Amino acid sequence: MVSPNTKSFLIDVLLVSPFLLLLVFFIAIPFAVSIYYSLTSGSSSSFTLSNFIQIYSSPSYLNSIQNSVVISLESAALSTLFGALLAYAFTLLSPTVRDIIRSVLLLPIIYPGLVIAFSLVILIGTSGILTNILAKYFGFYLPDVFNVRSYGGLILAYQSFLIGFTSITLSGVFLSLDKSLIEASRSLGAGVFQTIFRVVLPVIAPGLVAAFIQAFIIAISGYGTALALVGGGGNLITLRIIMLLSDVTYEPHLASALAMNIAMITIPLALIYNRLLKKVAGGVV
Amino acid sequence: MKLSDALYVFSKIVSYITLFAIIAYIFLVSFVPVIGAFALKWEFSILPEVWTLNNIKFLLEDPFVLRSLYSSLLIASITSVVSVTIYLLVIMFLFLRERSRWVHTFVEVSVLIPLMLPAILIALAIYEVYRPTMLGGTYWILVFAHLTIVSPYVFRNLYSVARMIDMKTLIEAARSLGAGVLTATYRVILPNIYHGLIGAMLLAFAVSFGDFEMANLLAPWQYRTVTIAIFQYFFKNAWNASAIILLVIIVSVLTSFLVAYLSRKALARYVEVVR
Amino acid sequence: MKEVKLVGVSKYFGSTVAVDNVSLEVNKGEFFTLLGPSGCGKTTTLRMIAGFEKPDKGRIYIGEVLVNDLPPEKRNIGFVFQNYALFPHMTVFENIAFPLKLKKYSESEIRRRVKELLSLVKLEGFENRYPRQLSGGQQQRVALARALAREPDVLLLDEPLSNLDALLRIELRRELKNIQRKTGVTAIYVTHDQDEAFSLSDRIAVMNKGRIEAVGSPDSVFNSPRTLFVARFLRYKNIFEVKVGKDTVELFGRQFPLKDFNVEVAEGKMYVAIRPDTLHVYTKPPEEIGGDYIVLEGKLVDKLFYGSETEIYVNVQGYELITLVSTSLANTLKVGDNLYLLVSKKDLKFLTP
Ligand SMILES: Nc1ncnc2c1ncn2[C@@H]1O[C@H](COP(=O)(O)OP(=O)(O)OP(=O)(O)O)[C@@H](O)[C@H]1O
Ligand SMILES: [Mg+2]
Repeated sequence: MVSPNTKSFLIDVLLVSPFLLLLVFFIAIPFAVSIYYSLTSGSSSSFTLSNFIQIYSSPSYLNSIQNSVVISLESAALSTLFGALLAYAFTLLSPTVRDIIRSVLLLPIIYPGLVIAFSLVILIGTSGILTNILAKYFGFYLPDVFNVRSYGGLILAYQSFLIGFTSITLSGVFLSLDKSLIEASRSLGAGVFQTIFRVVLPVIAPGLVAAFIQAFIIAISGYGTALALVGGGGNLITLRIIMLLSDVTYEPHLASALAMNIAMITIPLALIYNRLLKKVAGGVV
Repeated sequence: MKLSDALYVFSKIVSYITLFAIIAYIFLVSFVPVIGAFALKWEFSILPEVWTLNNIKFLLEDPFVLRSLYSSLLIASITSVVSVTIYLLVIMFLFLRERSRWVHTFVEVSVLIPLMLPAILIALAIYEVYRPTMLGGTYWILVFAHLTIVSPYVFRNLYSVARMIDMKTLIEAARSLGAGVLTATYRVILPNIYHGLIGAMLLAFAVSFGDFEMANLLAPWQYRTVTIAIFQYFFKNAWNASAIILLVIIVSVLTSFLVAYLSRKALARYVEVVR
Repeated sequence: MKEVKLVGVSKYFGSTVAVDNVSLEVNKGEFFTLLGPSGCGKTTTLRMIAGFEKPDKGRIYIGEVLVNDLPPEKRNIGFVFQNYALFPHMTVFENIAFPLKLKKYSESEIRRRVKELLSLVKLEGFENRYPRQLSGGQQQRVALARALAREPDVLLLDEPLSNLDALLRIELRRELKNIQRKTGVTAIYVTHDQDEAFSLSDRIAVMNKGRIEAVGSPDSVFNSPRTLFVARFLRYKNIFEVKVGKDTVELFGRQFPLKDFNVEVAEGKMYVAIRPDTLHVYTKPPEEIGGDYIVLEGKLVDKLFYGSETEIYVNVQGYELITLVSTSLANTLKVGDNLYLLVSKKDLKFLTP
């Protein structure tokens, strides 16, 4: 006869062990291994910083890091701005309309980023449909001013799904922003700008930062969209990692070290994000 | 008109215009491949100049595409069922008895880890660790990788449902009425969390089905997925690729609407819907 | 006969002591209430009796059985939750039938029992409604019927009325008492509302910071507080620190022999409490007072109108005493008037800190 304590302990173990196994074998161990890889070279098993030295002494790798960071910052800033405007628009809409629009915004989140990239190429690529139409009827050749297979195009493509994330995260904040708070501030004699900067901004600031971080992390860690849109022509960290993992060159150690550069940026940001999320209701994940 | 009123009207107009522009943009990028799937020639007009069903025929006949469709369905199905099972058990664990705040925080944070790390990093590491093992060369390696990236979605979904139905109290109520843990789960928890379970399963399915970044590295040769097929065919024939994209879009649209529908239905049990 | 017995029960959550060495006995058929402010450990005590929490120390008996290691489903209890906890996917009938089905009663027996219980809680005709289609009061009645269905040895209720509006709360309070009387079930009731506790209970335990500070009949608990906390919690308004000597006590600047007061007191710092309604107000010195009374002379400092009664504040030797008089009398008084307060010595309650 098992004692009641043992029995409830066994039930607990039964319930959590699949999760713990997944956590250990497919997250913890792989992460540990990538740290190990980044600190070793293929030839010997002793620890070395050679991978990182190679990265930081190569202008081209440094440039890829810079490009990734800049593009992700720009994408995050734009999508946070648009997300905030959308979230504000949500507060003006009826709940039913809001729900419909939200599910439309959710769509690109579960699409592969690849699809968006291809759609954009079909639409406004060098021989895209819109490009052709503009050229034919207006004599205006779009790729002269905006080449979609560029970093600019990438930022445009990112917006399609980043805005989904930011607007849904922010709509929780905006909906909880009490109208009476603004009215109270106005009634106390504060002007429009004072109200915005002293009352509204402090309330929504955590949400804005959370949305920005979320968008930044998604933008800097993905590669599907970039591969489809700029392909080998782009110098981004994730694209460089992919190149290091091709059939021709397979260098997992250097690739891990490159990936670590992303992780070193995203992990602290994600921790801040998780903190902020507690203050902000809602969000996709 | 006062400055403040003018600003208010201005901000309203700007936000509506943004809303409209963004929805239009999303529709545009989402539906170009949908139309493209039925195009033979589409160059200079709003709609294709020559329509065709050949792309759909290609979709249904090309062995590589069919095979990739099969692989994606298989992998996404297994991923969704397994992940929902794992996280249902975790949720049961969290709400079966009073657990300390630390236990909750630990689970919440560890479930978020896959979001903090680039998919490529996890994929590469899983590849390096498990290629020499039994998993190497099977689609299971991709299933396990997908289990990590769907975690946040599945967990958050189930967790919020469990909170909404106040799962802990429901279990306690059932037990105070003489039901054992199993009976309480089967008779009380499952019927109440059912919609949430299906919703989480659909989300996991969609995320796994739409993944390219992990599949590109991990999918063994015989189990290349649809997203890989899209990637490979796009540069050969955009309209053929559009047909495959159409398929992915149908899956995504269906899931996202089903998820929305199910979560509304789950809510209806708690709030009388007044019409 | 003791139906529920707790012996030296303690419960810790990390460094918080939620329940601290609590011992109590509840008799069969008794309506017993745990009364106390928020966070004092009432719920935790109740949940330990139910088996939802395990005590860290001590023993819990239900009937004569030591239940420490029994899971909730094996203890024959009924639990009524603050938020009702009805099963949302089941109708009223199915909710109440749930424990009966688990007991494998026959279909017809179940129907009969549910009907009986529904009439007990006055909800006939609601069988096929879902919980979301019921008002809060109706939901709580269903929860009560469901908890009673398995004929529990003890019915545990955790602030069952606190989510209802004030009028309904009073109405349901009476019904609850009637139902408990009719069924004769032993009930342990948790509340922070003293009116609820006093009107419902056969006996009351007042809890503070995880400990029991007073146990007894409503009358004895209300009229003989022993500790500062209990007096404050029961809204004795006039509470003053007093110095107790060897056989005298100093009150309002005067010395009284200790033996005049029917309390066993310790020497040193104590408190004395006087309920406002035990102070009688006179405008002239009252004549012919017996040795059982004390007269306090003071000046009216303030009046607060409360409808038919008015609260007045009287300064006696620097102590401010509050009492109630009829508004008609209060209207004849003005601030600065000399007043005489008559109080029976037995209405001075001596309290330990
Ligand atoms: N699960 C828990 N984890 C940590 N601390 C807890 C837990 N449950 C209760 N406590 C703490 O134990 C103490 C007693 O809590 P309990 O819920 O028993 O109080 P209560 O008397 O029922 O109060 P209330 O009237 O507010 O319901 C409180 O300080 C509370 O914060
Ligand atoms: Mg409580």
